[in-house]
Amino acid sequence: MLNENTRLITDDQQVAAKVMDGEAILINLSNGLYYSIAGTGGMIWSLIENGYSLEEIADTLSRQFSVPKQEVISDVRQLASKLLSESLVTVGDSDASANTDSSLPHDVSTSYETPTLKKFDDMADMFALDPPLPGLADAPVIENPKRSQE
Amino acid sequence: MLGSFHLCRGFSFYGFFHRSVVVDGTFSMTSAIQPDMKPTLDQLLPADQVPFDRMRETFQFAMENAGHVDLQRTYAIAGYPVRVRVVGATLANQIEKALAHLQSLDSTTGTLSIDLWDEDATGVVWGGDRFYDSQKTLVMMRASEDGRFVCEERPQGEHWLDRTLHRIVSCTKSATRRHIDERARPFHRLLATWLNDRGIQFVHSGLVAIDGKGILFAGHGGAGKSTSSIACLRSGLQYLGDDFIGIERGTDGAYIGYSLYASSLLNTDHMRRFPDLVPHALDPFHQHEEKAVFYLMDMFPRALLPKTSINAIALPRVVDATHTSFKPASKVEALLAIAPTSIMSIPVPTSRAFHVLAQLVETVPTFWLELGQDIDQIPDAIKSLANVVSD
Repeated sequence: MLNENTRLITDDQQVAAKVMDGEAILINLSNGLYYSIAGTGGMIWSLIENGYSLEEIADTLSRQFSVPKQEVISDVRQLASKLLSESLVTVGDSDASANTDSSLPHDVSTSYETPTLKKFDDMADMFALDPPLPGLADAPVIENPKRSQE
Repeated sequence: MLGSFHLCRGFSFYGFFHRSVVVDGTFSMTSAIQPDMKPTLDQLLPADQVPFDRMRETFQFAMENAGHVDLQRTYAIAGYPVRVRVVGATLANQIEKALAHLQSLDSTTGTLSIDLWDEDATGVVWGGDRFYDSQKTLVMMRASEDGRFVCEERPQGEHWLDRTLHRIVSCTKSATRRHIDERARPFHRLLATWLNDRGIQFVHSGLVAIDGKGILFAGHGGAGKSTSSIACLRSGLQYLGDDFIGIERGTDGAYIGYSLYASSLLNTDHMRRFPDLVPHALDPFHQHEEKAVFYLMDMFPRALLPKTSINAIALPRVVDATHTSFKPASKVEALLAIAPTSIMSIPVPTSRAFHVLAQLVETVPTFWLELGQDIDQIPDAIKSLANVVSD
């Protein structure tokens, strides 16, 4: 059950993610579904990646955009719930502490916008036609090949 | 019915079941066949069960038994000399056509060696009863647990890559029954894996060049990558691919695009748009395949380019307009167009591969290429686009 102390965990072995122009783009590597989180989604995803609890995320957004925390926490919980139901994150240790040292991406938006998770399933066919390997260990290479001199 | 057939097949050969995919115009999927086994685990097998050495010995036997090879040539694939030997005349012809533009003058030993034989043409059996003539396409990627060996298993063929010693060995039931993707892009999954180990990533895109500037066409299936690429090829621009290319980030941070195959798979819509290409179409061997194979060196011997810089990304989309034009696209739009389809096309989708594409998108300018009804305008639009991007 989600509460304000919940910290979500991302796993780049399962979900590839990139925050670009304030928007988060996510690909679930195990099923081919992909997502965008518009609004203030990019910043929220970055905070999740850095181990912020839902309350800490709401605090940060509230300060950043000068909006009431109560308004933000509701949006954050709703987004967290959707991310969990799509298996894009898991619930982590609520007693852990956030990594507040790393710099967060500059949010391009000047005002707070409710984060919206958009799901794309058009890769499902391709995924089924051509299922990937579940993972591949690094193979020892005896000698690295050289390129042609032509 | 199909599921039970494959289930038996998997059991008889490897002693356990595996996940398989059936393609028949639509598709269906069977997975997690064995109870209590995670569906992904059965694609991995212990190293001592990998038949690579036996398969290479069988290739040697096929070669000695024939008394010759039908093709022995070195190709420069993404700059790496790759030595290919084929036993079986039709198979040799298919490989030669698909890689014709990459033939290398460097005849020294390749850094990657690829040995293939045709079971029916040589009489040297590898798959035997395991191979069967399917109207369906089944692809199963497998690997040894230690990651050294990777296999692409098909109804009529088995292809193994040794990542440590840089070798591929491959057996095909019959070259005259191969599916169109194999004819157009032989062993591309194994090649994608080997090149990925060298820092070169397969990307689901077209790529053309003009005056030394490479324009990459990105988008999902049906967006217009092939139409744009082929329209440019016909009008005299240089061509590197319309479906899959390789990309690499140079030490200076610039991106290089590599051509991989001198072939194209075009559907009936494409052929209606480009009727002059129709006489060159090679029909598929299977009824369900709705595309034809084109070997482009026969048609455009001077237009195929092995590599280029990548100076812009164009995202084709069909619009309700007469004219074709371009306008800026956001980085997010470009990433959504290029990344999911590329990541899911490679044998091992990873976050690293995703970030390579994100970095590419951030590095080069991105545009919408809005395709109007007059597709003959596409090359001029690309020339104009190339004029507004830097070298």
